[in-house]
Amino acid sequence: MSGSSSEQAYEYLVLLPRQTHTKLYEQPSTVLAVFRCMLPHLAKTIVMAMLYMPTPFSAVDLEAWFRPEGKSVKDKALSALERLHIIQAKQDATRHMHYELSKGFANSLRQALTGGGTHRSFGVPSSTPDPNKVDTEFLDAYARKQWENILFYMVGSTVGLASSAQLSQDIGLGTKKLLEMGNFVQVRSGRVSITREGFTFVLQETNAQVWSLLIVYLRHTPELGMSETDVLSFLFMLGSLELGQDYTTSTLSETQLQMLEDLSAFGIVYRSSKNAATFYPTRLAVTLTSDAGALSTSDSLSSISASRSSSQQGFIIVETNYRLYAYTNSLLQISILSLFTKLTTRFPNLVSGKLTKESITRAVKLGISSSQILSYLTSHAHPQMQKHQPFLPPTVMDQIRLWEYEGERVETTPGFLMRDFKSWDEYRDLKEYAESLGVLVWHHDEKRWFFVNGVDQLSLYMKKKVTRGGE
Amino acid sequence: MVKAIRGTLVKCDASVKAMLVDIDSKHRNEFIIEDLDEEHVLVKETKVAQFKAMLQNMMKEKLKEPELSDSDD
Amino acid sequence: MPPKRKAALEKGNGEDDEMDYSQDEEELSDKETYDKLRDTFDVVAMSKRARAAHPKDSASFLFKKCDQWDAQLRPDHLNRPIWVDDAGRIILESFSPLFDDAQDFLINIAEPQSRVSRMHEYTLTPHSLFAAVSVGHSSREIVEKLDSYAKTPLSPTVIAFIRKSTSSFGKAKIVLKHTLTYIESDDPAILEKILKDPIIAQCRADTNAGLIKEAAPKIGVMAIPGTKMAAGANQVAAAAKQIPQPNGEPQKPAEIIASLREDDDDEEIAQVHSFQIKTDERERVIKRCQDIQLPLTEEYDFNNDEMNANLDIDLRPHAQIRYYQEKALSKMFSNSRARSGIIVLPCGAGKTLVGITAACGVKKSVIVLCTSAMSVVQWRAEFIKWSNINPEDIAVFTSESKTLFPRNAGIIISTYSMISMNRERSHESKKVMEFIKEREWGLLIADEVHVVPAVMFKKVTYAIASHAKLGLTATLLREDEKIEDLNFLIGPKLYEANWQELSEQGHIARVQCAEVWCQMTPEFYMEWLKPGITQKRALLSVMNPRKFQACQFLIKYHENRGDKIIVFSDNVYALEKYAKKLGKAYIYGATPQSERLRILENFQHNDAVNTIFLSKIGDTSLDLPEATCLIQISSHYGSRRQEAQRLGRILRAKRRNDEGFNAFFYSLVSKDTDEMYYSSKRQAFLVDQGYAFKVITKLEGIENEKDLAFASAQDKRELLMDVLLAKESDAATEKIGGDLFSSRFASKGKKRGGVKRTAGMLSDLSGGQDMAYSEYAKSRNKELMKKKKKGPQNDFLRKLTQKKK
Repeated sequence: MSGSSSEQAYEYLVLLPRQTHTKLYEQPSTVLAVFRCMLPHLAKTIVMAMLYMPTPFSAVDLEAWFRPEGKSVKDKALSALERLHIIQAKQDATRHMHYELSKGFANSLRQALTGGGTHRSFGVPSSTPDPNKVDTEFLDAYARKQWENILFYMVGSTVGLASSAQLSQDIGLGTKKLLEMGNFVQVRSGRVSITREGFTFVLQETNAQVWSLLIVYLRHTPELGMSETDVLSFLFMLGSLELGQDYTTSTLSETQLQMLEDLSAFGIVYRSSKNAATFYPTRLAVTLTSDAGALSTSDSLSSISASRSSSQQGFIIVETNYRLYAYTNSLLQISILSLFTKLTTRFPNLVSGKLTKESITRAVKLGISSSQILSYLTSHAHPQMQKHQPFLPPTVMDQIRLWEYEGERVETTPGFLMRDFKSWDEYRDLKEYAESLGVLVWHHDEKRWFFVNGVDQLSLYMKKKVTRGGE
Repeated sequence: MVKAIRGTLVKCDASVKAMLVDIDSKHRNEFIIEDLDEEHVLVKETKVAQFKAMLQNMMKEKLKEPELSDSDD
Repeated sequence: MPPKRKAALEKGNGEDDEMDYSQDEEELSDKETYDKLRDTFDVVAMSKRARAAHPKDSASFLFKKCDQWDAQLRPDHLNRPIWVDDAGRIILESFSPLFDDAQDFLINIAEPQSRVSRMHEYTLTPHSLFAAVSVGHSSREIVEKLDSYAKTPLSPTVIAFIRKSTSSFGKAKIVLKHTLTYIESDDPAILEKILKDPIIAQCRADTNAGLIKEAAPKIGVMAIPGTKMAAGANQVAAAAKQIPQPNGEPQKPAEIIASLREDDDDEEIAQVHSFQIKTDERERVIKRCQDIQLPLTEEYDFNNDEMNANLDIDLRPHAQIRYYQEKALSKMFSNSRARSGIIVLPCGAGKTLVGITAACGVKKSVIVLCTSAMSVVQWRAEFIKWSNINPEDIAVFTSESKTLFPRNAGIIISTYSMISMNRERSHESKKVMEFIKEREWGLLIADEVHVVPAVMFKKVTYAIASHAKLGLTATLLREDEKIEDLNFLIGPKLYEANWQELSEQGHIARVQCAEVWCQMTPEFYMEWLKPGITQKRALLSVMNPRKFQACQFLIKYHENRGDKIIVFSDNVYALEKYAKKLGKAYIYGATPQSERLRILENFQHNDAVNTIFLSKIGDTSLDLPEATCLIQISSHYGSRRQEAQRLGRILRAKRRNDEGFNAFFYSLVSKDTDEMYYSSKRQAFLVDQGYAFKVITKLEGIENEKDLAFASAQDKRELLMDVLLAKESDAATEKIGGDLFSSRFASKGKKRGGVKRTAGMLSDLSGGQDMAYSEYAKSRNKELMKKKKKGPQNDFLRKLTQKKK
């Protein structure tokens, strides 16, 4: 699951208490989503095996499935299932271990798979035809515009580009606030600038970006008087909807209606007006819980953005003379590049400029690290660049790192200088103790001096030694 | 008797250290507690920020930086 | 005057082969003319106006140079390789299938700016367009072809710029025919426009009211000697001689043409028009034409020159001309005339052979000008090696050797300083100068033309009546703007080779470049920080013990690999200290010629001498194909040219075609000193040619090296004391050696003509002041002197010495 976009959702989910899990698992759509995109492959197999098992799964039987070298995979799968409270390990009277599937989860999953019940958790398509029906193309364009506006707000404001006529619509106060709460941007005396976390955010795949933002949203639901379970269930439901279909709002809870407004600001859903009786999920919504393990999220999203699709192919050329050429006309890509490049020239399908000490230092001051810049340049390297390993010229990579390093010339550590030891043995003894504690920072054997960043345990040790010596 | 002296260890390269020593000597030695070796000095904890700022200024003044404008073509 | 210096001046009657750049401070008399011309074609202003017309968006402010986001992309733009901006800058995709064609075209019409690997950049300039027109591209052709390669239609600004530049440049030619001077053009309107100028009208020689009309020479019939077409060339030459010559008198051009016209009457022949000017007013006409923005190109119809005797010279069969040399020469000879201009090839790519081939093409008397007596010797040897010329016919004119050729035609090789010197000449020297001034020269070859001060070059061109001029250089780079003057004094740039391409094809060596950062020691840096020590700062940076150790380490490492190493230091004080401490031979301005030769011979042939130290006299004109590794410890500020020239010292490495062979170029810089700043400036040119400099912050293995110098604190302190006690003058870089930028940076109070040079034996210099080094003070140079009988002596040198006797 590592690297998948729903990893963050998983990290969020496992931290929730059992009660919340139990409540969440009442919704078949949620259970299906968790099953599909939160679980390692092996965990799914175990769940499926247990789903129609009449008796609890004995640990011994489970053990029999695996070769000894498969233990770590097995442990990982079981731990995920236990942390999400999907299975419980129990001991029976004969003190044998066995596993049980949580009842609520099992029921909902069976419903989801067989389609039974009246839970309506997979959304209710609108029964009346929408006079303003929109097609997927429109929805994609809408989602792209909304989402890029958010990214552009973050990057563009930093480089002084955002107050643009190109942005037909503001991203809304709520979203701005959210970005600030998530520490993706910081606002100082009215000036918005991106943070290191924000740059990490921008560098992610779209799907991961969506989840990152939604998790910030989730964390702040209590303050907004919304039910966290409601919000989560709704998100999981959205993931199960069909692109291009309109759904009725009549079956939604108060919380969920409130959410619709926010989600349409993100471009996750589309509504023709604030009071419309229907809503459309966009591609950002329906890919929320796509099976990230098997399906690459980038594929499902590549069509969402023209600039993204070019970026997936790779569009940046960096030469050994630090000149940079990028095949793009996207203002978003241009503003990302301008965070660390001195751009000079623009044609309809190409921008060019140079990586300079000044431009890299400026980026570093914003909190963007050289490795982030290098990973951006590498992951968007033009096919011509991909002919060589590494994609980027090594001298350029070295130089960018050096420029970052040159910006930070001193390293400071608060602590204590230990000196005036009576004997070499006393010095060595204490130094070695400090080293074993991991607090030794610097030492000079000839001078019999050393420096530690923590002194408490050392003084205790010395006192003990003194008393011991006195005995 | 073993002494423990509170302070901030500053690790830097030789030329930066030379600048630090230079600044210190011009300010009645109010920053550096102890000169440790070629790449380390011990600095008064309360003065670190000020010391760093003065170093930045000195570097700006002494080291030539490439021109800000593009001179390549 | 110290006796040593006086002795030096007396020797050779004060003649110098090396340059005295103080002349460079004089302003050119017709500087204004150039300025006027430049103003007319102010591209920047043009593109600014164009820019104002483009619509803006929120990102426009980012693109300071050019913002043409609104241009219309052609539907088939993917198949077209270039973008052109309003200021004439061109970006070229090297991975386009059309790359080769586009590159060949662009090198004709634009200046290459960056040719690294995937994307190349060029710029259209008035000069590059001038060159394009002069080698036969028409204005229409340039616009159409450029437009066909472009992803977006050319903007009206660029079209207007090309039209404007080409309409005024290269439309009229100055031609010598039968030693008479004509102004020629294929457009009679241009000539009429020129003749309307009262000054030029005065200079007109023929009294006809109209213009002379004749058939244009056929283009492309001249083959470059040494190429596949060479056989054809001989036929052409033979055909040229068949022109009837009644009474043995030179025919009037009109008649010749008339007789020619009878032969191919029915063909449509391109017409050229001309009028004759008085030959002694030639210079005035050229200047005036520049003034009225119709500069003249210079071409020499050597096939029809019967006044000047032919020189019996041809390339030897073993001389193979490489494709880029052929490309360059074909620009020079494309309509069977010799066109004046400059050819730019990296060091080691065979500039000399290009010059020799040009001489073989013209087959008239040739004068070659070099920057030093060393290169005079090398040029002569190359002529003998590559051509069948009778060695008697090659004369040499230097302070040490003055000869004449015995027959009517021949070659003279000399230095710029010998021709242009102001001082009283010796009797012998006067005789040679008269000999040179009296005759007409078919071709003047100007070697390393970029280092010659314009004033000096002017003097040379006035003194030597040459029909055509060929400038040769590795880099048309100067840190001032004076390089442009060469366009007027010699001619346009005819060709500039692509370094990466030549390197990939093995014509020049592959080079690994590295910049080694050397931490200053705290003691040295403390001194460096002291105010009022500006003069000594450079010296402290060079003498940084850690840099010394890095140098020592690299020498040892590369000697063990079997490399031959040149260490460059502009600073003579450092040069001596380093060389003596490490027990290596060194050469600088004051090293006598004989000692220089001995050291170089040993470097070339003696297995025990693998490293030599050179001051900047080694930057140019030393041909050392044995060298495979360069270490630069001190250099001249931010000179991109010096960096390129030094790299050039290893590009011709003999071993370049060995499998996996790499030459090495190290620049040692002391961290946190001005050296860091200058180093990146210096590399700018090479980096744009595709050389990548790896920054090395720590030399792997140096900490395990046992015998590093200045290891103890005591040694470092002593070295510091030495540096602090050094004279102010020691901190300055050497003031000789043909670098005309010295004057820009040298102290203002420099005495005019005061060449700071001390002659004499090195033993005198390694006197008492360097006591710390007494154990090393035994100069390696002297050892090499003693061995002189044993050392193998170079053939050409021996011959040359014999001739002198």
